[in-house]
Amino acid sequence: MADRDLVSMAQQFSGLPMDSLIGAPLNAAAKGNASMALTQTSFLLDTCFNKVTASPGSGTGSGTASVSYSPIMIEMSLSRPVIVQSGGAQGSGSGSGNNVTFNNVTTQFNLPLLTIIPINSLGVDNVDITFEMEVKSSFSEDTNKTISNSTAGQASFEAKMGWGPFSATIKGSASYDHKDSETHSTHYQKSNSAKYTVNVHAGQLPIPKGVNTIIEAFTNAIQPIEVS
Amino acid sequence: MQFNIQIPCPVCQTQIPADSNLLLTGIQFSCPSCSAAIGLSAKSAPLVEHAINEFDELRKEVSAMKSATQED
Repeated sequence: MADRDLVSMAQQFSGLPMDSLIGAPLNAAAKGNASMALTQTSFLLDTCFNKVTASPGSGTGSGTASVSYSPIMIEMSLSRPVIVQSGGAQGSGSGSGNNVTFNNVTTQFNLPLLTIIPINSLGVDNVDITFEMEVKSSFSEDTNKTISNSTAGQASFEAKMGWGPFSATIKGSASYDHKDSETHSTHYQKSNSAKYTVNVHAGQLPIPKGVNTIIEAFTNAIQPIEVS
Repeated sequence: MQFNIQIPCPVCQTQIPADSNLLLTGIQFSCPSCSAAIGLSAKSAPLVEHAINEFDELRKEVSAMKSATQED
């Protein structure tokens, strides 16, 4: 009989190079994200900050030039209604002769340019790696045996007799038929299959805490400036 | 309307949802809490326009990088 052993599933899966199958796309995504972060940082420093280079020896005492960045500020306008009382004595409340009017006062305030750029929208936001491997093994055996036996025979006879004016004829025949049949069928089947599925999901993290802190510090320091 | 940035209100510190491109067109955004309206001053408009154009270029560059990463 043929070898009925099926392949070992565990052996099939243990040989998979999982590091490269899953790690390679993740590495590519991480490298892509790092590259995008560098580009983004470069954009922020070049566009939203002024680079100030201090000459060697000035201030720090060291021999190397120090570089610092100061945020580029933009001017914003703020309009809000202000209640203005005219006529009558001050602090007299709703006494007669008081006119209360709402004046729209516009002031200016400065805001770092960085705060109005939607920088958190860049980067790889989703990585999905789906790896699926299916191993199938099957064995099938068919046996068919047929025995057929057939026997046939045939005989005939004829006799004639006569006594004076009388005569008689006898005719006869005989046949024999025998059939024997035997069928034997065997069907044997064995199979196994295994599926290995890996799903890796990597998502984009929110804006880095450090950048967020810088933006918050800038935005919280907004002070309205009264226009004379 | 979709807002892409938030600016804290200088009066009450409530976050005012705004859009940087709309700020450039001169639209003012009102604080949902105190009704103060903020807008971009005309003298800062060129600076902001330059930054937004640069950012759009950066966004295109990053999209190309994203596509390259997904093809790998």
